[in-house]
Amino acid sequence: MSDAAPQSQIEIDEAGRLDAEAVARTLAGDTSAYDVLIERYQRRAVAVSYRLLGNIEDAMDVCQDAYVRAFKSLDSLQQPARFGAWLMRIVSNLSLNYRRGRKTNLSLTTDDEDGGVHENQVAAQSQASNSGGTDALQSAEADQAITAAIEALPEQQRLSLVLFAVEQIPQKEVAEILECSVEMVKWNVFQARKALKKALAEYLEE
Amino acid sequence: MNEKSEQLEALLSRCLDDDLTAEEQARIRRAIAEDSEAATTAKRYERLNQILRSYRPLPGGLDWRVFFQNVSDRIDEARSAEESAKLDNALDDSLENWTKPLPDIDWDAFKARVSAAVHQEAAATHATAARRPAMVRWFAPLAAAAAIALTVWWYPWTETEVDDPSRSIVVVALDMPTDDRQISISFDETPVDPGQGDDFPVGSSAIAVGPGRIETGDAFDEAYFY
Repeated sequence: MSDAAPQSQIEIDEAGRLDAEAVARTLAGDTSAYDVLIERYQRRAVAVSYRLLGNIEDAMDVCQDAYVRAFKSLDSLQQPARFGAWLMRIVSNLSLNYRRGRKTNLSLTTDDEDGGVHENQVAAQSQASNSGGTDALQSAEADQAITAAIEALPEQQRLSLVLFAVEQIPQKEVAEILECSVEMVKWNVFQARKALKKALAEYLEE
Repeated sequence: MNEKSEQLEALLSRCLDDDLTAEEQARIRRAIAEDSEAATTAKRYERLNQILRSYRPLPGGLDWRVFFQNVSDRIDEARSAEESAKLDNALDDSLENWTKPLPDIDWDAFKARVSAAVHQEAAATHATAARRPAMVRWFAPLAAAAAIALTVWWYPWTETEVDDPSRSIVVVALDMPTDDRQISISFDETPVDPGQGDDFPVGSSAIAVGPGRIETGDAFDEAYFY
């Protein structure tokens, strides 16, 4: 069984048919059918959540929660063939909520610390000290700058960018996940790229 | 940023996604070839795109089986909790039905319905009594009266000396039937002045058949009341 999320239109159509079948079987009481859905989307779900949160443990927790919520609300899914987009919408919303909650908690303890940036900072500094090279240090700085610039984007732009430009989910599917038009996705991605080009100008020079 | 460069940037962004028409692609190629600033901007977008594609790759060594197992366990827990909640809800609904206040009731209408039903029942009972055989309706009371009169007449001659000729009446009191359908009969032997009519017990006549002679305190099954 392949656990890769579909990419091309043909794959999406086939995946949609299989998803609808798995959803119908799950609703009929065959809970093993839901295992198929878990395996098919787990990697993409965790990847998107991780890119929004910057912490793999948090991302895993959020995705487990998303799968459980999706299971509980499965009978409310009007288009079973769109299970993948629906699940990713749940994952995205839960990740953003989790991030907001984490920010609130952090602001109660420290004023200058953000979980995602902090973790990247630690990882980058560790990487720099291990390699000991100037390039690594520059790379660590660049990572921090990129993370800070992405996190400074408005939510819809950040989600569009992460789903489309980073995770490379097709625009049509991103539009389904975000419940907006494809044109809106394109516009959001463009605005995000433009903002990042400006914020990261010094790192984009040859 | 002027409108022309804004449009160019939008085209460059879409170019990264292979989302341009042939005409737009030609326009971009021409702009990059003729304008060094446009060429620099195009390179920056390409670099940005590369950075984004490698942004936060998933850490290696993730155990997807553990993830899958954790999700399955949590779904099992959720399912159990859901079934338990369904039972709780069913119980709550039952309790709510028992404890919720009475709905609005038209008590006047209720009273009228009950009253009508009672009257109807009473009329049916009287009709049944009226349909009893004539022998039961007339002879039984007469027999009861005769039995009591006989008792009253016979009692002074057989049991006691009659000192006082005026004592010709013995009051026979009949108790109400007990739960086990027995009726007690008592004889009041105290002298009674027949002139004090109000002191006589007001009750029914009865025929009570016992195995021997009837005495005060005797109890009988199947006594007939009239």
